[in-house]
Amino acid sequence: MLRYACKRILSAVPVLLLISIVVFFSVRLVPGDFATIVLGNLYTDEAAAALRQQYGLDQPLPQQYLIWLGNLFQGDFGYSYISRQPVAELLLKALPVTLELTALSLLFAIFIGIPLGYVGGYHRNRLPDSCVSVLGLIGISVPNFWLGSMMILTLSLTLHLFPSGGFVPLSSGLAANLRSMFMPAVALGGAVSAVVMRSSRSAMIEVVDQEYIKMARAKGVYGLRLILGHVVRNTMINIVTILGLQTGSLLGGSVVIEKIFSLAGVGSLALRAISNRDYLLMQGTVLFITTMFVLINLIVDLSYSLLNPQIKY
Amino acid sequence: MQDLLYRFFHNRLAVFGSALLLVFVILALFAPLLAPFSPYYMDTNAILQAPGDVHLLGTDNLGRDILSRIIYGSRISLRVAFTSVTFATICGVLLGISAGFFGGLIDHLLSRVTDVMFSFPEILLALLIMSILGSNINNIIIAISIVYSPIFARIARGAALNIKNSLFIEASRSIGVPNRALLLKHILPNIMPPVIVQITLSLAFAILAEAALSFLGIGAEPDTPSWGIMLSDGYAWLELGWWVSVFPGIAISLAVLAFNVLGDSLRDLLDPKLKNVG
Amino acid sequence: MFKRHSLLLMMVLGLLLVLGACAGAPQPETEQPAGGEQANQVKDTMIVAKQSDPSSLDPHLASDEAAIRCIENMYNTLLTYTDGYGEVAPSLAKSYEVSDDNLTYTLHLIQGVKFHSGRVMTADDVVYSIERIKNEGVRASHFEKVASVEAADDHTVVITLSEPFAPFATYLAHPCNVIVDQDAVEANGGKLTNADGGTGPFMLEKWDVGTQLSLTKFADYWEAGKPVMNHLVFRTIADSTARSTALRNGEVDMIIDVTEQEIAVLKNAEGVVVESVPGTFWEYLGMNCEHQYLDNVKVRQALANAIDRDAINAAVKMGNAEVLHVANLPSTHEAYADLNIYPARDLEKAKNLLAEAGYQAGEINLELLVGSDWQYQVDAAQMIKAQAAEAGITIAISALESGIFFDNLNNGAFDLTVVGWSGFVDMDEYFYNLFRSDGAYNQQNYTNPELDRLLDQGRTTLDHAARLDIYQQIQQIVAEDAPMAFLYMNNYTVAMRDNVQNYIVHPTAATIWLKDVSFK
Repeated sequence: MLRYACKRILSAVPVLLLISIVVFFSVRLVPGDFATIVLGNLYTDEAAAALRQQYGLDQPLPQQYLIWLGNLFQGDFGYSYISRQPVAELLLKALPVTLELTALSLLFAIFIGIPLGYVGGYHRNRLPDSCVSVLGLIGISVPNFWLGSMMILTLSLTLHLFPSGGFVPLSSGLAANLRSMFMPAVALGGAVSAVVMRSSRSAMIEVVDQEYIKMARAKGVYGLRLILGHVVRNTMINIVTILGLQTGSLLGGSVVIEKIFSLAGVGSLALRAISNRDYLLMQGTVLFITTMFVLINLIVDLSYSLLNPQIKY
Repeated sequence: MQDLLYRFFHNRLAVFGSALLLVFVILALFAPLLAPFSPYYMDTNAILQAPGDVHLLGTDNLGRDILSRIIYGSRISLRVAFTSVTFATICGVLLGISAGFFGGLIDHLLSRVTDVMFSFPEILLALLIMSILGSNINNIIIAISIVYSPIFARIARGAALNIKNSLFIEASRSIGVPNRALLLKHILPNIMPPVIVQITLSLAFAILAEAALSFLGIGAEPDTPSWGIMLSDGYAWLELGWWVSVFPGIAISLAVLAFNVLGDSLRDLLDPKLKNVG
Repeated sequence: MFKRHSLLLMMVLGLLLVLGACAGAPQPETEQPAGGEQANQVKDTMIVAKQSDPSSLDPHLASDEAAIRCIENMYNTLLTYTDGYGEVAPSLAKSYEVSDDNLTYTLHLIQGVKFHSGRVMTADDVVYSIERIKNEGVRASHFEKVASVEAADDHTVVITLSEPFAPFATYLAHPCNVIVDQDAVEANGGKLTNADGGTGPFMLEKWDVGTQLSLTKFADYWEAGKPVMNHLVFRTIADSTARSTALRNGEVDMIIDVTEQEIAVLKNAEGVVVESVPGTFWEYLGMNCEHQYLDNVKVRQALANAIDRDAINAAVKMGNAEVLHVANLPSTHEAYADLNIYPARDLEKAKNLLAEAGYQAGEINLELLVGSDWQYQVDAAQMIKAQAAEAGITIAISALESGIFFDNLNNGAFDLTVVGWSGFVDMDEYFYNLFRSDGAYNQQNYTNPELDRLLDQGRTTLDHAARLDIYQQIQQIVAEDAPMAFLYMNNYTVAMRDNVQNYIVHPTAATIWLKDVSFK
């Protein structure tokens, strides 16, 4: 197991390196002189000279990459000239919002998607299944930003149940915090819960016909105990894989949801960076989000042996 | 093949999906004939009008007919979706088959590249590409093509790998059938089922992606009748004119639903062994 | 058994991770209590919401509206605007005399005014500040006529002009022509972008760029009993719906830039008061006079006649703005020229002008830049595009983020643009920087020697009637030469919670009365 873990972690390293190369080059591909595009309207000769020195712009490209990488490992993610703050600081401030949003959306997807999917698969081709299938199809077809707008229209502007935007930190109270995150989490998690619903449904369908389930039933095990005891264990791998992959969609979707609900998270930071051509900030946020995604999938991979004792490495 | 067609038209999901898709295709193709107004025409006497007799789905804050804009919007959505997925399919399948069939360095390189591309959340990768290329409809198409090529490459590669090692191919090789013939006559037809299913799924995602990018303001000119731009416009008028957001959203959902339903039914028909992994 | 509960375990771990991250993470932007949570305590924090974040806090270098609104609460000027539009009253200068030849201003400063650093302000600081504006500031043209500025003693400043300068007193009251602390400037590398060098009622506590500017009461402020509030927070909420919802929910106390579409919603909201006054925010279609097609005055006039100002006003501003039929002065301004040069849209005239200029319909293609942050300008741009198309001019719209947008504007990298200016008081302010050759705000690259002569004359003529006459001529030239096609003058609207009292809504959008504000 440990050997596999090490191997898996090591194999993630070249992927991370390649990602960093892609991100590094994405800025260099923009037409124009690096100093000019990074500094924008704050361009002065001194600032440009300082930038050139810091990033070794007169050196060959591979050298520049190594310098940049070195800076990263020292925690220097560059400086956002438009926001006048170090990128690392901006990321740190935005992180709790996105983490909470992603976590809540994931919880929503898990607690709504999995049970509903199981119900549908268990009662295959009967009414609950039809409902679940339809719900799942609708869930993956509705754009999450439209769902968010509709929720704002009904729950916030008409019924005044929730604030239409803005993040209330935990320090101001758990209730207020959850209130401000409810609609964003549902809007973002909705599509993911539909995906999870569909795959738990088909996972359930597959499992339900298996011999050992019939065996368990014959022994007198039914309903919830059957599910928790046998089904969950055997479907978990698929579902966890899906969840891991869907976090990518959550992280990407957070860009749009954070914009609609005025949440100052990493997603809206990335959007701001790209719209403002704030290239160093863009590098930092994109690198950060993709690294998070790779790490999450790594954890998912490593968790397989926990989930299924048959998987031996 | 005939058997497939028979089963297709007797599958309720498939028929529903195709019918819905057909509606949108007709709307897109015959937009000038079907739309009551030009999507750019501003009726200054009918600002933000609720759905009614003249403007069936209401007007937006500049007096433009929502129904007409939705009809013309289908042109943009379908054009972006079909074009980008076509590019993605062709590039992805070619690369994937080469990687799977020839193996070695090409395979290794492709696997690493697709791994990296899969590590980027889709919207983020599209945004990154557009920040380099610039914002317009053609660049949206390019960005979406790039984002969805890896999945086709992976599917094609997987299928190619499976078949490559089959006895049949070994036998053909041993009697001297050239590679190209093998590729065209045997491998290509066999990877079609998963690729076709993926095409419908990617079309669905492409419509959502175009809408999202337009919604974020990264995309076409502000007055383009794109569904995403309509949603973004409508967001500012949620309280005074709900119809500006509701109807384009329904249009997007229905179009994406059509592709998803088709995809599901095709998956059932073409390869029941393919698991429903969303 | 471990495996059976592995799912549960993972979920619990996940939850702990989330809670840990949130609890242990550094405090994000908002530090004040949420909406109705603290209703029972006496509120000592005033939260003001606005659309944009300041670009910088340096009073002499910042020119964007968002920056000025924040800066004016941290600093003081020698004179100040009063609640009447166009009038000034003493501030740091408790009195002043003007010599008979109108060339010498002797200002007597209040004694004991302190900077936020604790140091006492003296006449030397005034000299330093005025020279800084002259040498580096964006409003250097306000002090162009200043030949010398000297400290006669610690509390007396003598300013000598090279020529009589009519708008001078008004410019001394401009919210950004403030007195700054030389020590603070030098300690921050010559710029006050993130720093505080003021004497004003509030001082800088914390600036979360892009989110919120937190100011706190300056205990040693020279005006007794002011400011009333202990904290003043400027919160940036880009989306107008989110802004107005925040006000309705009580999460913010005031919105200082209410859009027309939000007025309708807010007027019906409980606990909210909406106040509108004729404003100073005017919008226009700017034309780059050095452009291949636009350097021909007939083409510009064609555009100016092709647009339907009334229709744009009706659609984009709900008909509430005042259409500008001449130049940028509104009918409420004393210098307004009642010339009615563009009474209504004249499509025929536009087509004829284009033909006279020698262009066929469809021959001219122009790009229009607009800031994507301001939806009403994007909407106006779309209407202009449709209207110009009918006259045979093809326009493509490019909506850019504000940073790049203003960059392009300042570098002259545009054909057409839809944008606005606000806060002008004196008639010189409306024209000099904008239309004089090489004027600091002359993004259109417009140049007209005759107009230059009139503009120079206008600022040095002290006889009021003569001045008005000069500006009549100026307005006529500017309207006919059409470097801009003027659209409308907006009302200025503020919305606040009904428990906010003592705030004055001023046409220039100045927020200096926030120091008087309190809760009932």
